[in-house]
Amino acid sequence: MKTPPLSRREFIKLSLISGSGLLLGVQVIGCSDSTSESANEFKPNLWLEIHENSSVTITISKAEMGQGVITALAMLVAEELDADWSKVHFVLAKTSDIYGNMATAGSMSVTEMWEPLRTAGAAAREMLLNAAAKKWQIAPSNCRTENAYVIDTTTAQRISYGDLIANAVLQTVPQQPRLKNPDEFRIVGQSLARLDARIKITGEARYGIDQQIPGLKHAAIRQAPVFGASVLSVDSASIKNLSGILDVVVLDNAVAVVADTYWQAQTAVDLLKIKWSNELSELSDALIQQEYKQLLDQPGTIEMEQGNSITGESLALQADYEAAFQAHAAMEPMNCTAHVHADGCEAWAPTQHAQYARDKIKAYLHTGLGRLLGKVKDKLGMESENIIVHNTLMGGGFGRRLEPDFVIQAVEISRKSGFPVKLLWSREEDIRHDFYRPYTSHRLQAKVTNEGKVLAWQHRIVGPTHGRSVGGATHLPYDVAYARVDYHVKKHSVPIGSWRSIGSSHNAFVMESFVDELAAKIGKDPYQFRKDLLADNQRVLAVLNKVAELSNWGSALAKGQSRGIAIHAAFNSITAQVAEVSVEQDEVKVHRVYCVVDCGLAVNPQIIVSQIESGIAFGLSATLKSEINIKNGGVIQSNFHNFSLLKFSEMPDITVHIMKSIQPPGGIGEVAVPPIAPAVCNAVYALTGKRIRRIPITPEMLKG
Amino acid sequence: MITIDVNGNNYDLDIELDTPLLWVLREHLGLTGTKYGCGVGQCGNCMVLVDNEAVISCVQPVGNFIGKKIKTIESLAQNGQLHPVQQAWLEQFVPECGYCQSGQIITATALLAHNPEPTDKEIEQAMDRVLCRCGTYARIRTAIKRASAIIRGAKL
Repeated sequence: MKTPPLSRREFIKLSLISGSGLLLGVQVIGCSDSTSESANEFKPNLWLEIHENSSVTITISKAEMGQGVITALAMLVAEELDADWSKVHFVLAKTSDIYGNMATAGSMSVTEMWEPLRTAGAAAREMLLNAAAKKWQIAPSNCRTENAYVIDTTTAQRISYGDLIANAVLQTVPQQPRLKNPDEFRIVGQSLARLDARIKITGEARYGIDQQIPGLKHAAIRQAPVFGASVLSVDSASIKNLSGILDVVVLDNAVAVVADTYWQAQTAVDLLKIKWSNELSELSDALIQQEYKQLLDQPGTIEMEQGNSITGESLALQADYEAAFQAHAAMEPMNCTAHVHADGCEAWAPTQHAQYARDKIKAYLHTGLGRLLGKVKDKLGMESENIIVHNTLMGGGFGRRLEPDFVIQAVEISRKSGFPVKLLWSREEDIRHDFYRPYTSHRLQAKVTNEGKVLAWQHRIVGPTHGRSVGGATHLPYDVAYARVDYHVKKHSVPIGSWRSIGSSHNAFVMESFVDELAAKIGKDPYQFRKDLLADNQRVLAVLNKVAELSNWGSALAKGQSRGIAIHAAFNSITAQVAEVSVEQDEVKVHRVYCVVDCGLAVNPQIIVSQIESGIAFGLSATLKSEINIKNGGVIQSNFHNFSLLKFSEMPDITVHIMKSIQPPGGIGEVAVPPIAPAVCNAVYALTGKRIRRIPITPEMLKG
Repeated sequence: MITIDVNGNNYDLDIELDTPLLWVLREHLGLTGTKYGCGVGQCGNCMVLVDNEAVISCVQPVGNFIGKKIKTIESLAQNGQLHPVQQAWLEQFVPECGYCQSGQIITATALLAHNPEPTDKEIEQAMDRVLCRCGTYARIRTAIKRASAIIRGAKL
């Protein structure tokens, strides 16, 4: 493999198990090169650079989409470096394999980077400390570091990191720098302000949509209204007299117009007369529902089976559940700026997986069809170095931006038109051409004794893919004698993707609703029922007990209100919620949510709290407000008037408690989504006696 | 050729009069702080101040704004000094992805300019016009109350 061009002094390399995201360790693979390009900076490894004024620039290899990853990752480096936080800056990493896995998914960023980034900071700190010791001719053990200074513990004389740069670069790179114990942390664990907060309130922040490059033209797109359809013909006569139009580019399943401005391009694309193949498709969500329902009667592939079914006096219970298709609807619609030129391709992409996007660009540029199009030399794209993908800030991601479809489109439009282009999808394209949370059907069966022992638990799932349908279903935290999860995969043409919390988003709804049904069946309090099944699972039990305490479970509520409880373990964290709701005119109003999370060591508590609030709001939209429906092979919804999101006045009061822990950090970006649907639906049951077995909740479900 | 007044500057523009104000701001004037979210006036991410009212900029053509004073998010901070609303936004850790925050801040600024001490209900009425997919609403509510205190304090 060819090594991409790097600074000569980069020497710490991450070894990551590709794909699994598990950390093997940090490896020192080179040594410092003192003949540096500048004496004013100390760049001991990939992750940080110390400047003359002791400020530090930290390289962020994960994608920032609002989850606070820039700040959290910078805190890990700054902690072990003993940096001055007021002088910490960030830069987004240019896409390169030297950073290991750059994919930002599965709430893994902090977990994955916890050791390598602290090691990077600690290694640099040790070199600075050794440099000072040498300068003062004292033992390193007589030195300590604080706030970007090395201090002589005997004389209290001090020297700043900036003043040590020339000496630090001469130090040996420590093979295994000492990492702090959690009780030594002074940055990690603090509610520090986000490093990107100020630029986001002044309009200075540059998202993908804001990219500007010389000679930039603008592209708008219309994609096939039926999934799987392709372009048969395009009649451009209607746009002949419009000004600013530069090109009409026909892609396999879409047509784009390139113009001087976005508005010209969008106006033109709306006027094009396009003939599509497959204009008559019968696919609808009603059809999918019907097929899935039939499969629920047949045994599926076993995902998990454990324990032995115990015979004895028990009550059998069965219920079928469904969860609708959901769109991500990030506020920044899909977009990408791309420039294919004679020497290569450069793209500015708001993507959660820039390496994948880069590899897809490379694959596209190598297809026979792509090469025949001319305008580009044949050598193009043969080397990954000729393909540069710049990551940008993102207006939300939620899993949508793991897919590089819009990046490849921009590259193709630039290649075919010859212009550097910014492709921007209209909101309609964004809603209708998402990679959706799948529609899933579920059958739950259980045997429960009158005392509340669960003798058997069976969960059958039907969905269009395995992982995204089944994920989270095996995370049953309760003590059950026998548990079995099986599934059917039944594909269809609706694109499916990862939607914030993936399989857990629907499986937690199903599992925690059905647990509530079991409790109701034997007339036991839902909290007590769960508690008694968690005696052997102390970490989960502690979270459940805390949310009961926090919410004053069992106390009287205002008239017309009730509570529901739910808990789910996923992404290496445990999250429990209690929702307080009322129902007025067949509509559910969520007044308050209590949330307790055990996410291991809390790196930045205020970012954790904001992610909990965010996950609850996201989950509430899908529980109360919106769904995606398929008719005639395409999506019915098109914009926020028919795919509505939670509004300001619908936001509940939220109280969050973070469990104290010194375990390594678990995930946080997705963990608040799974429990909110069942907590709300269980509260609706407590209030109305109506069991919600399909989300989102509609007024029809609550009538009568 | 038309002239529009944006952030205290007059701009002479040779453009189609039916171009929505949003795209004139973003592409002709380079003021990219104002964001596109839906194009049909449903999400409020594109709010700007027009004669001190919060106005959706993605639907109305630029021709409608001749002779009016338009202010965008870029004009709120003066000489590096944040507007009280922005100051409160920072204190309350409001932004997550940040994409809708220009629209939120503009809308809150207009609300407080007319009503320096809004009730919860009045805050809801004003802020229901702007969608946030990250769910920063609770922090926005607290931040508006904080900004209200800063503004009223400054006037005392």
